[in-house]
Amino acid sequence: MDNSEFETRAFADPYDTEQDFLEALSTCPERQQLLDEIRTFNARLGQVTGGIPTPPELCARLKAAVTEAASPTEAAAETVSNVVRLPSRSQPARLVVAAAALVLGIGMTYSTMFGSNQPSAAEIEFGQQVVNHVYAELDEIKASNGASLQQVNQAMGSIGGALDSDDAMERLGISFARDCIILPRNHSAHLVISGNRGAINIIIIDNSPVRREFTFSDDHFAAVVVPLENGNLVLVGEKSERLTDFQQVVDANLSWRI
Amino acid sequence: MTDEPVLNGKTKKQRYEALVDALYQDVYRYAYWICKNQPLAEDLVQETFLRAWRSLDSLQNDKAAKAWLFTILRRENARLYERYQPDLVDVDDQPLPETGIDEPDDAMERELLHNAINKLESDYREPLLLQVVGGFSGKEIADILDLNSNTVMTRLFRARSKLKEYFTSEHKNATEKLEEPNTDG
Repeated sequence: MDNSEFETRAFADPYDTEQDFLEALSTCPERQQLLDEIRTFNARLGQVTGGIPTPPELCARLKAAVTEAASPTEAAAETVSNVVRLPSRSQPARLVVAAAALVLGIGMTYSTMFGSNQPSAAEIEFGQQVVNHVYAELDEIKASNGASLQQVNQAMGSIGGALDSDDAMERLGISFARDCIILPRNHSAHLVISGNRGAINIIIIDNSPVRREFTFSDDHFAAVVVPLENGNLVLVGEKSERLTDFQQVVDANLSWRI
Repeated sequence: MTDEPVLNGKTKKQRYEALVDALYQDVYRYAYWICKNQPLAEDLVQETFLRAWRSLDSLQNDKAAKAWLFTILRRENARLYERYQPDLVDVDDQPLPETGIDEPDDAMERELLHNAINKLESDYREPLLLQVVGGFSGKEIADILDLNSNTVMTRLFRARSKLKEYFTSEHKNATEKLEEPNTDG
């Protein structure tokens, strides 16, 4: 693939996963740089298009609009089944230290619900919100003198999980652990481990899984958003950090027990 | 983004509500960008979901729900425009929605990019919005717009190239304006 074709493909689809595109990317650092620039621009574009606030109550109005249209049979069924209607939330997943051969690699689990190929503006916006949270916590993270197993379990407990041994603490080198509110309606655990270039933030949040893994970066941080069975894993580290290596470390040490 | 996926075995209303939860924000944002008017975008979304409710049984595969809704919305948009031309306020003249977190530089860049998107011809803007707002693949966009995939990819390439060009040019002009010495008085 020559540079011109690569450039055309990168501009047309910055998240192209075709084998020939990835191979062309791997042969030339300048191509990676171009792709990073396009993805940064694309993330900004996603923020602008996704930053349009939805009108308050629109969701409720859309639901209410069909209540009268529902058939009597369905209305009756609703009366029975929704005597108490609570806000829905994904089943909290349980995070534990995995034995070596444990089942699902979390980085490999994709949600295909409402299947689409690209991260949507809302998904990019979500990723950006996580990075904004990391910026907001930077002072706290720097001031942290390390995390105890109890703190880690408290953070993980917020999403229905737990670390069950000190070995995992050592393997992952967890230096910070908090349960955080990143999205108002969702729980999240925020851990920090040591990377090769600086701290790496591991954020596990029980919101709806993104449709597929995607990466993005700003001037300082790089991030990867990985869909889980019932939530998302987001790794945020220095821009020069190879986050995929640490995704594998997390993968090898943690898994969901549902 | 949603907390509740659509699952098999739900009643029609539960299935509909899951669809609304999952997709109304993306559908509204797409509506906003194609009609450039907030009240009309709301009307379009309500019409779209009402039609979706009426024909929900025809949606066999929930994975196709988003493309299905966007297609309904495009049809509704065309139909409404055929029926009447409302007095539109151009989105360029409307204040941008506040995010409440922007620094001044961010706000300026956001506005410039916003304007640049609106300067794109619809042939380029539509596939780009489907990709960026909707998260659709080239093939899905081709299906929604009834074009072949190569045409879509070419338009996406040109859309981003033009957008970058517009944005860079507007950014340069804005920066120069800011740097001009004040000669008043």
